Amino acid sequence: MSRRLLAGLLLVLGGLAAAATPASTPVPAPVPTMQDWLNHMGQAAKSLNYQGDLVYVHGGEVSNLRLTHVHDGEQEWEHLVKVDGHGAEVLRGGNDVIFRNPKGSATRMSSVPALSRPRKLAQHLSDLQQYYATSISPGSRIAGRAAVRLQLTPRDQDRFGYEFYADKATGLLLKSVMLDQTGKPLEAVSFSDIKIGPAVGLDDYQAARAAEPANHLPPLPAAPAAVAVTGLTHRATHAVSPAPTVASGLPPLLAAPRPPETLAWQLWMPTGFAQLGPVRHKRINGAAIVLATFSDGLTSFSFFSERVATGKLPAENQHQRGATAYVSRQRVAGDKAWLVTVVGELPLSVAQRIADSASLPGVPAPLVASAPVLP
Amino acid sequence: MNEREQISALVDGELPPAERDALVRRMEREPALSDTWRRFQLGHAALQHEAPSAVDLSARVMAALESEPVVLAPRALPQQRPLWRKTWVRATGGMALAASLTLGVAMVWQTNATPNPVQVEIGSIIRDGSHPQVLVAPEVAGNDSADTIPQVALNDTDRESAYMLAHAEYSERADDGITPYARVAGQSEDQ
Repeated sequence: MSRRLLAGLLLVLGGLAAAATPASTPVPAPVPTMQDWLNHMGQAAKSLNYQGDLVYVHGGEVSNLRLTHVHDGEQEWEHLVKVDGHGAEVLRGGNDVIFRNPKGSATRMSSVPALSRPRKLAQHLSDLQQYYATSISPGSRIAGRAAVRLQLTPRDQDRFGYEFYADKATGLLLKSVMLDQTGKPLEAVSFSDIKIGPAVGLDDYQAARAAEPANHLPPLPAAPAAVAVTGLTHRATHAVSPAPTVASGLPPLLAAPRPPETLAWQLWMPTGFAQLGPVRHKRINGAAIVLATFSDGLTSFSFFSERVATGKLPAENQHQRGATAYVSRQRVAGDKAWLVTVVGELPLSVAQRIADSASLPGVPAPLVASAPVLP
Repeated sequence: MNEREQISALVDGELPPAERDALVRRMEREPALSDTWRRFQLGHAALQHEAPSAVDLSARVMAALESEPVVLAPRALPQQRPLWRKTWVRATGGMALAASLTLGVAMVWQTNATPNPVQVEIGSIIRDGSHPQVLVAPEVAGNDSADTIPQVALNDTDRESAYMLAHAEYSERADDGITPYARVAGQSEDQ
């Protein structure tokens, strides 16, 4: 059979098939995938107004919280208060995050508006199937609302599993359960009552903010003269030769993006994790901290490096509370010392391995002339 | 992304490397563009409360800026279409009013504060076998002045609270919304 004859036959058969299909046959709506649901869930949490009572369970402890979240069209405003025990409170909004702990002290830091955060989540979620087996099923009602159950089971021992219950109507996360490698619940957060929609206003946030005794809050950091933190993080240095000026007056930082004097921690981490946003330099209650956050789309951890005096090295620490692992390690190189810490929703052994791996390869000779990099 | 949005993203450290490099090359050639970058940078620093406070005039102007409702107070409802950059671009516009007073001071601060600025390495991923490794810059060599060591170190409780808070703030996950901060508040009595 010649090619021309075969092509003609296929054309006729195709035409017959098309003619046999009724023009009015409805096209079924695409079934939302796990990625669709997770994206929807993330967006709903940021963009909707909602207020409700939350129950948080971890390690046999139960906490009752009340959450108010408002998106005013530009920014998020959030008030979360623990209503039992000694109380604790988180206020977010206006580029500001304040946490008052039960002991009465407060931690304050400048925040990144959620809508300005890097939109890498969707990109990570596309790779999710490599690291988690997923399933979607009808969920039970949560806080009186119909929910969809999203289950993600890890394919390796480096991360935990998740059960999400998303509101069928809005996509908002109503309940979240984290499971260890054997499928045993580690922690759960669930709304017991919730109101969603524009009726939720700013009153709660404003009242909480007004009640906040300003003089009890540590001031936000005023950068010392030698440190300026911007999007392109840069610092003054006393060691490098004077940088050339350019005709435009643009700081030479931009003309010399990667000088060889940079130090860098080298870390091991499980597969599938990618960095979220830039490495950040923060001052938190006076301490100079460098942090970087990594995520596989679901699980995330942050690596902190805090410069400390060699004679006052804070003790090393490690524990797991609910799903959150916290591991800190001391590092000394020559006359410099740091406390490096990993915080994240990881098995403790994985967080330990990340923290233990922190090393300073290629430290310039003048810094380590008298001592090797430890460990 | 228009020019201003690109500069805004550059200041936030969120411009992809290729775009960043192209923009930097343009700024070297175009003084107006570099001036815009400088104003945005100052605006960003003010919003992040990272502007210098040692200079009286600058401090007063910064205090005035901090009182702008766009920074400190929620906007009145009803809703508008989300446009995240508008907030600090607007505040930067507010800065422009003050710029005639502050620019000289701010420039002195910039010049004096960062005589030889160098960039901290942005984390870069390298590979070793099957597991990626990442480089995270703790600081710049030679920057061993006391400013990097806090005068009063954080105590363990405050450190843990602060780290939990920062982790919640900078993580972007599918369960953003209720879980990260519920953890911070819910675990607060364990610390």
